[in-house]
Amino acid sequence: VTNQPPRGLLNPTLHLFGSALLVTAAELLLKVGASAAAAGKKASIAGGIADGLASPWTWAGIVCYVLSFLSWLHVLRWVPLIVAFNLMNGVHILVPVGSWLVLGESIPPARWVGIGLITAGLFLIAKPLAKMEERL
Amino acid sequence: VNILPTPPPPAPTPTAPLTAPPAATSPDLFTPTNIALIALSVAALVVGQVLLKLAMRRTSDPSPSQAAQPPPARTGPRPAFLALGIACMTVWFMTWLHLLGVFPLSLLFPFEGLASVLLSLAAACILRERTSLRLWCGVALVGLGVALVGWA
Repeated sequence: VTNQPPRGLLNPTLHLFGSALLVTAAELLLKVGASAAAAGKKASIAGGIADGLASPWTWAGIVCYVLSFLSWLHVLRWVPLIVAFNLMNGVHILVPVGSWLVLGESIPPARWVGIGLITAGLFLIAKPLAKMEERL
Repeated sequence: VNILPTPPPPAPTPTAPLTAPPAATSPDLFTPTNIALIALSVAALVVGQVLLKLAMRRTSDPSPSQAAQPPPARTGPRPAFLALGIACMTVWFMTWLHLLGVFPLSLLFPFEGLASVLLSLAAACILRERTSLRLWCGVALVGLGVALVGWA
């Protein structure tokens, strides 16, 4: 019986980063899958969903979502919700930057300002987590 | 020699409104139904995450005053809280997905930022998690940043 967070592959901080990266990958994969479905030009919502599910990209995205949720549950076991959830907002940086790098989407100036504010906030919030790591 | 007349540009074909309508129509979007759906989405996210935390946390009362006492025995996940939390997150996902199809991101993301701040308040008040001025400044910056990131 121990109250110490696990180290190595079960390290909660590692899983927080992993969960954020998996959500980002899931969003980008679903976008690719949904774009493939939109190319099929099905007028109905049901037809669009059927086209989306026909794409392997969509299924890869769903797998990433499920894995990120399992990782998230492990994070909640050790990290306070207020710290973990706010750090998870880092996906709002990773998704636009990933869309820019991978999908070639543009980032308008106001979005860069938002990314800057989130980055500053993450640095303020990450301190308690870093302290928790120091106690290991 | 190409003497064929250039073909006229293809007429714009009406396609299903799968993507968000332009922000110019925004006043029409805030109908009582849509406002209720936004409130439901935010509430389901906050309640769902609090339930998941309650399901996963290791002790029944990890208040700072008990920190000096010997650590209580580890407990496993609580299935009832876990099931309720997953149900709430399913409601959130479905509602959010619907709203993403109806609203432009710039109108929806301020509520995402608001949800983040409300969730932080819930974590502090209901879960009694330790906070600091520094943490609240971070929460405010992140909430504001998320609201701005949706700006198109």
